[in-house]
Amino acid sequence: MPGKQYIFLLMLMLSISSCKKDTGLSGNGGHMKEQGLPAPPEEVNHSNVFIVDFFSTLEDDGDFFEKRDISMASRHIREQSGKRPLIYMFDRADFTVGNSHPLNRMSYDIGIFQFFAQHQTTGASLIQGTGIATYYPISKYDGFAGGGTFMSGCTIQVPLTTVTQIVFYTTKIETVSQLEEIGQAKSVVLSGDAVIIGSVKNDVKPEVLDHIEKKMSLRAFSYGSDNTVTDLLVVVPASYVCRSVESGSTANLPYYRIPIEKWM
Amino acid sequence: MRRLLLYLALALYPFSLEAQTVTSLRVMSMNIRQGGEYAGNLSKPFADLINEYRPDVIALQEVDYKTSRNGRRDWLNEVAMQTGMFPYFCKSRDYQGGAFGTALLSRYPFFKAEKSIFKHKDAREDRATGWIYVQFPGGRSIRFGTVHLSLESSELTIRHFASVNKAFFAEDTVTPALMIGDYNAASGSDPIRYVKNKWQEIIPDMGPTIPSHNPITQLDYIMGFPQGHWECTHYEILAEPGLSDHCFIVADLKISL
Repeated sequence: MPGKQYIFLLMLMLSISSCKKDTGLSGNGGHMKEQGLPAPPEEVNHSNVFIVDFFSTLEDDGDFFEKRDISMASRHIREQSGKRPLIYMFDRADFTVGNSHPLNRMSYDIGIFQFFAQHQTTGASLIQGTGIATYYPISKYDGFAGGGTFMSGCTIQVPLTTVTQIVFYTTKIETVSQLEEIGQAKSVVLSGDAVIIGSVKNDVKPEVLDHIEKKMSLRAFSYGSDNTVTDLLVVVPASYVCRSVESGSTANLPYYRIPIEKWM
Repeated sequence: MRRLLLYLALALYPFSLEAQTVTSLRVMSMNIRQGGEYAGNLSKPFADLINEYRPDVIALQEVDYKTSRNGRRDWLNEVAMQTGMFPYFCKSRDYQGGAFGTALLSRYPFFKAEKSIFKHKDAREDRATGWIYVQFPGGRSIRFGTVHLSLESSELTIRHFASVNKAFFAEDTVTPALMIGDYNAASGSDPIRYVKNKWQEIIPDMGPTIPSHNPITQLDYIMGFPQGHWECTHYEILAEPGLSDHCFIVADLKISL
């Protein structure tokens, strides 16, 4: 009906105008700061939201799968129902040179596509990084390595209202200077359909979030606790928003469920 | 003035020497013939050979992904698991319910990967060239490509490589690179002469690589970029008639840049 369509459009415009006003979306202290963004109409929410599950202790305390069973992660992925996560990320799923990465096994067992994003300079034995897994075919891998900064990820065709090619990056931020390198290398990509989901060291978090929003003109969200070594970091362009994060666990695998909405 | 320039050059000379760093690595080239059909499309015989030589990067051609003839196996991932390497599959085309193409395996993680597909009305099939960026211990990043050129005519082989060059250097003309694989062209042929306009044939007069039971022609090459900075310290041509009609190449290389 025309009347319903009008109300729907009005609500969408109100939602967009509210979002534009909000530029200080970061901060937490145990939870994500209230962002003041009204929820959009249900049909917009459903079709324009994708979910990322980020597995992490946020403690930067060694290889995630050293004391955890990769088959439990596979089970978590297999047993999702309803609106399933698009991508699963495993923070500190480190790689020991010469050994098969655990996500290779997962990929083989459950037919999932996988990628290892290194977070530190290649060494002779152990390389820290994040494992990425998805059922969606990966069309491209993108990233860069320079001056001790690493950011890499993969491109997926995401079935939103309009199928959108989105780049999913991950990184580990410990200093603001790393962001300067990321900005120099990837500013064009990051202003389009691209998101960064990774971790930020708690003691530099305020400067990092400030830099992302003011110098890179991107939205930055963090989630975690002041007691953890790192916080979850979500960086999106102006046309995306992350309204909330839920924490959960499967067996002894803690994870954060991150719904991200493309609203423009 | 001349004297001043001379002093300046002498003063800067040690720095220019210091700036050159050397990275050593081992690579392999493996055209596995129709998804490894000589070995029953199994992954283990290939993984065993790889584990014997422990290369840093392998460029593969004629790789199957979950085709009916290979029993729907993810062959590349199987090899990756058995060798502790990272796989990158570059699909050339859909095939037998799965896919067929080229691939790369790397001992170290790759942080970027791309591919280009050559399609031409005179070519009987589409062919993918893929490349990955790998950072080595010491910090140097190197780009590795896997290539399988068209064979219908010399002209088409040259056209194919021209399109590879165009895609490969479209955004990056700086990172040192290797382009390894089956060039479907004999040593000294027009296509190889064309390739050498831009690339260094790192092992000149390497020797024949096909057929593996009695090699008489070289079709497989290791090309380096930029020219003049690559050196081969040791290489072997591995004839494994039980695995492929192509011999495999394993080579120890050095780049000084």
